[in-house]
Amino acid sequence: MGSMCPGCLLGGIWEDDAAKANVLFSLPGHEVLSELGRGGMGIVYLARQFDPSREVALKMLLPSQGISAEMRERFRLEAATVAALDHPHILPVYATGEHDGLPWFTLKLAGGGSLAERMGEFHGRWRASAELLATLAEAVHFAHQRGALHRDLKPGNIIFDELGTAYVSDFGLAKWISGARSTVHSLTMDGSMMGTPHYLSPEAAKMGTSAATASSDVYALGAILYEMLTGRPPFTAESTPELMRCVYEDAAVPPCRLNPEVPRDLSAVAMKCLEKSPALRYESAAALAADLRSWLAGRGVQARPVSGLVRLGRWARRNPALAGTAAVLIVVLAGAAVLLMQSNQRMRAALAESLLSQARMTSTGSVAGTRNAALQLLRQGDLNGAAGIPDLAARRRTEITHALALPELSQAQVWTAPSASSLGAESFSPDLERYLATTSDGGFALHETQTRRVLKAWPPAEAERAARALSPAVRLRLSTNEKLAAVIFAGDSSAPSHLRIVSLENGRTLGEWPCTNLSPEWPLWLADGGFLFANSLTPCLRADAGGSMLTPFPDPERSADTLPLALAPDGNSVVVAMKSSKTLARLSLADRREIWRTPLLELPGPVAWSADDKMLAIGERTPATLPGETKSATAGCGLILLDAASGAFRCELPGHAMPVAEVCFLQGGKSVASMSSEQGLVWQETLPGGFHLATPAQPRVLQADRAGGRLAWSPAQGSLCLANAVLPSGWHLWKDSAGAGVTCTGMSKDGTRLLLSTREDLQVWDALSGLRLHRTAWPATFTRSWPWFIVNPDGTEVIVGDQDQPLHVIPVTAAENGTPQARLGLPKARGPGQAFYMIHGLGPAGEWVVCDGPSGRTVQRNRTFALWPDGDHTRAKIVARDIPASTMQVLGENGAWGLAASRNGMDCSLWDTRDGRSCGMLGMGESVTVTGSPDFRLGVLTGRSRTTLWEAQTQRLITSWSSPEDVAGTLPRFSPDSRQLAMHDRTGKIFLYNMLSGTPTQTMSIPAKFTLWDVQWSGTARLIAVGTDGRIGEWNLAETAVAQKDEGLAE
Amino acid sequence: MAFPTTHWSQLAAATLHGDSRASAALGEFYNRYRGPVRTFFHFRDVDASELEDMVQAFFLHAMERSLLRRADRQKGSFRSWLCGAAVNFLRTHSSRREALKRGGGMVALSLDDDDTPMPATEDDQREFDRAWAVRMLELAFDRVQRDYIDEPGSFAVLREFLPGSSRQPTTAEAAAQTGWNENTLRSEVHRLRIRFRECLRAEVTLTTSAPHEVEGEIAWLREVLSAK
Repeated sequence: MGSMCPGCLLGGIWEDDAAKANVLFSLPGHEVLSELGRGGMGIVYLARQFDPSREVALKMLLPSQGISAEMRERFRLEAATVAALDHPHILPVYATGEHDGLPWFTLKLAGGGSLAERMGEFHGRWRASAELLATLAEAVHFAHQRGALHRDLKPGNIIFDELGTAYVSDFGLAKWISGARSTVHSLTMDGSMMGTPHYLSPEAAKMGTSAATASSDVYALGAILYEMLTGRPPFTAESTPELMRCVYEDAAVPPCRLNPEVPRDLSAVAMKCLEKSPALRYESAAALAADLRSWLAGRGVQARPVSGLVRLGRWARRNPALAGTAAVLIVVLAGAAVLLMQSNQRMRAALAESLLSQARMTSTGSVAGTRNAALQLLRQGDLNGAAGIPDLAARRRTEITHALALPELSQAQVWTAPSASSLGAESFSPDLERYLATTSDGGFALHETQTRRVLKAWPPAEAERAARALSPAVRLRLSTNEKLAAVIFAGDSSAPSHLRIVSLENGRTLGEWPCTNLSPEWPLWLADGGFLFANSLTPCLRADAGGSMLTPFPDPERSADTLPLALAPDGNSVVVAMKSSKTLARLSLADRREIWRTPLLELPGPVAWSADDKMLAIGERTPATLPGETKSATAGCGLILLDAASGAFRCELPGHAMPVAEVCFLQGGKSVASMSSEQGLVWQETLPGGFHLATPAQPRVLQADRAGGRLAWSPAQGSLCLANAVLPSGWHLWKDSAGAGVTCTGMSKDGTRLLLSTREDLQVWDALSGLRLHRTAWPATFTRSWPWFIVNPDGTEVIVGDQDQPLHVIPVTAAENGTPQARLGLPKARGPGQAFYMIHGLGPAGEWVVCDGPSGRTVQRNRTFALWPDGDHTRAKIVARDIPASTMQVLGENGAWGLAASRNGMDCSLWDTRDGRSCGMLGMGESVTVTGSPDFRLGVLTGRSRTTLWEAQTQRLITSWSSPEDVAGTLPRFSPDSRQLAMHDRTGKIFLYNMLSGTPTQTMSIPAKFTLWDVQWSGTARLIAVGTDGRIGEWNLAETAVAQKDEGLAE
Repeated sequence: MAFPTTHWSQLAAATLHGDSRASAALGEFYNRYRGPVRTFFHFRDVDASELEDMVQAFFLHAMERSLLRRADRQKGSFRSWLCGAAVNFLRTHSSRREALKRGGGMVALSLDDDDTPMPATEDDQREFDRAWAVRMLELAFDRVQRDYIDEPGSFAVLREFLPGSSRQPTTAEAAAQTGWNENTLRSEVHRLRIRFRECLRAEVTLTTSAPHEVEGEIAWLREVLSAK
């Protein structure tokens, strides 16, 4: 704001609006009158609507929730979903809008209280209870059929209007709240937000509400019925965790046993809903409603089968007139069976739809657990049996492929481990098979991870016992050879915190130093069994294997200034921080020689060294550690990757809001995990824009095993877990970026050389390793307005077109030593003078397909297309003169046919290249792009609405299909064997088609934000995707196929 | 007067068991409100070389002790609570620094001594409130400025027409600088003022616990900034 006067600014710019009495604030068409209540899902106001004039309930997101764009989007989405549920017993949404950046919607104001408040009215009124629950179940079923799950049904969400009509409310809001799975988990822990899990199904209690299905809503309805019958929910317990345990382990006591007056059939209905296995519950909410209606009509219930004789007796009592007519009975039963089958089929279809949409919704986040949850949903067998949904199998395959391309921290083992201190007190062995933990007596013990059995314990010595009670062991580290431990004992008023190094073989103390226990500096365990230790109060010391010889490191002069941070994987060198000069240095351990030194702005936080010896990861303690780092205001403390060999800066990765407390590499350096001093764990790829996964974590322990495939941390207060770090299958981002503004891409036919142009340069990449081999700037004479090129099939020549230039040929030469190295040579002009030619492709005999381009700034409507045999313009043969087309592809055995795409909405025209004659039009009725297959046999015309596949020789239409959304303007690409076609949109979706059958095979959607510019085939099983921002990634179809097979999908 | 509460305590509760989104939100919060704390520390003569460290230490300290979670919204305004916590932090911290000088590095810090903040003096509170209010305006100003990212030149001219600007060019001068005619310039100035109001409302909304508190909060900001 510079020198402005803030008071004057605010006073001058704010004019008072005349505030109305009794009105909190106004919204378009509404006045907000008073607050009715607030909770985890927003605030509810009483509001007056002007037209029609009525009072309504207005629900609005709270500012704390409105901070997240995702929350806002979900709130809007759900308002739209509920608005679409037009049912007499679902609370209707009237209007939606946004105010001060916060979305809101209005609902019917139902002033008759909730079922929670009116529960007492139903005690002992069995028929009224059954009637109400049947009505609710029908409303819930109506929503299920439209793909909406409630997932938070409870008496508080059933509300009545003044006339006593019941409504299901808060429909779907539970869905978006549970989308933030971990939030719900964490908030449930102290029970503050979700209320009680009395109505939560066992599957939701166990795996989070994202695992809920239609059957979980049936469970909740049963739990409500149970409470109406007995006056209490199915399970009660003193604490939330205990209640959760009851929900998934204990069997509820049947209502008729609690109260013998409860009709046995109704009791059985409630118990059938409360079955632990969804398969044993009613197959749908409609089936529950039908059973209740059946009971109300005096018939038996499905939940409690009775003998045929009893049933016949009942039926005879109700239907005396029909009792003797057995034939009629048979006809009725047969009819009912048909109806039931049909409704069952519809139900399965609805369930399948709902599972698919849930899976898609679940797998959009970058939160751990989403991949597993989505796959779990997709595995549910009902999908295969569901009829009546078009493309169900293909959509399921797409969703599975999408989920498989996400990373996952798959928890293999979770166990309860109360921590002796809030700061954390475990340390694992390098293979994570054992861990050292503090004990309640102030000492520590070694446990076997698998069984949690105590292998050995080190209680405090007799003499120390009293002192340990006051200052127990609070944090510790196990040495890599498991022979030593560093233990921090908490300080108290009489003694400061201190770090002690203990021999685990004989319990002897090898050294003890004062320390701070909030952000301790730990010893560095050396390969020879010794260690290096220093902290802010102690100079750096090196201990030998026995721990008895302590010598200053690297020498007496520099030891006070040295803070050891990480040991190289080979154990021969160490990275240290020099405190006074704020530099980072790599020192050889043998001769203390300095290998490199790099300046820092701040002393770094934790440092990890990758197992491949290539990288160092530095966790920041403050938002900027390296000089010259530019930070946006919200960046927080990130991870800095340095080259381990030179100390040079590689890149910065996003980290945490608060200082980084732990960092470790996984998969040899492919990914890195970090934990903040305050909360949360992030696992991400070690390249900018790579995958990024977050999960809750307590600041207690974070360790990867030696192979880097498993990770141990504390996911919640009082628990530890061991998880497999599952890398994404299929999609992989390349390390380097081409730079922004890619204009054109090309690939050699063997799929090894990728060429890319930007406005600045031309680049050649090794498509197999994803490494850039060479780049060359465009000649200074180029205008670079939109460089465009074609690569010849063997990838040895690039033919480039640019404004007001002749065509140029740039040779791509292989390096002599046979490595994939390649260089771009100097461009040589080809063609007449200063004319501007565009090249569109090469014919079967290598002839260039060229047209005269627009000259200067005027847009030339018509163009003349010509073939240049061997690129020789002096032998040019004109194919089509002055036609309104933008591109041409030459097809057919002898290159006999030219397919020209119109650009003014005209159809595609066909030209005989031998005599330059027009042969007619291929009707599409819209503007199209043309693509020829590498074998010159097929042509694909892509329009906004339809895509058609033609055989060139016969000019026969083979097949056509609806173009996927938003593919207009992108280029379809044939695989090198012409058997597959890849189309793509801009949002990262790639659609594959089989060119033998002309049918879609699968759709892949890139699991990260990626604005797709172009795709290229590298061989027949890899697709290289190039983004508009220059990032490049590959979709490995072979890898996807293997993962799909593991998921039970046929090829 | 009644101060609107903020969603700090709610947010902190979520964060202390939270996921990455919660901690990202907290990070954003830290960045939004360290300004007032920094100004206040500066006002209380914290050495410039230590200022950033101290501000960060204060927030970190608050997180570690779950202070924010325990901040009771019923007891008074969040701002005065935060101000009191900052006063206490400064007091504890300076005694710790003294102790460091005296005792060679070891001083035991009671973990609970500052859970109940000392009441801040009127001077402290006023300085803190003012820093808070100025920060609100800065945030709104930054937000508006981002709208003009592609035309920084015209923003530099237009901003001089906002109330409180140190100099105001004539319409004719400004029109010449921007290349607009005077009518366009006037409507652009009007647009900027409206946009500023929108942005300020949006920023203030984020500091309140419910949407209906926004009006009251803006009135309070005006009161704080108009006080001499």
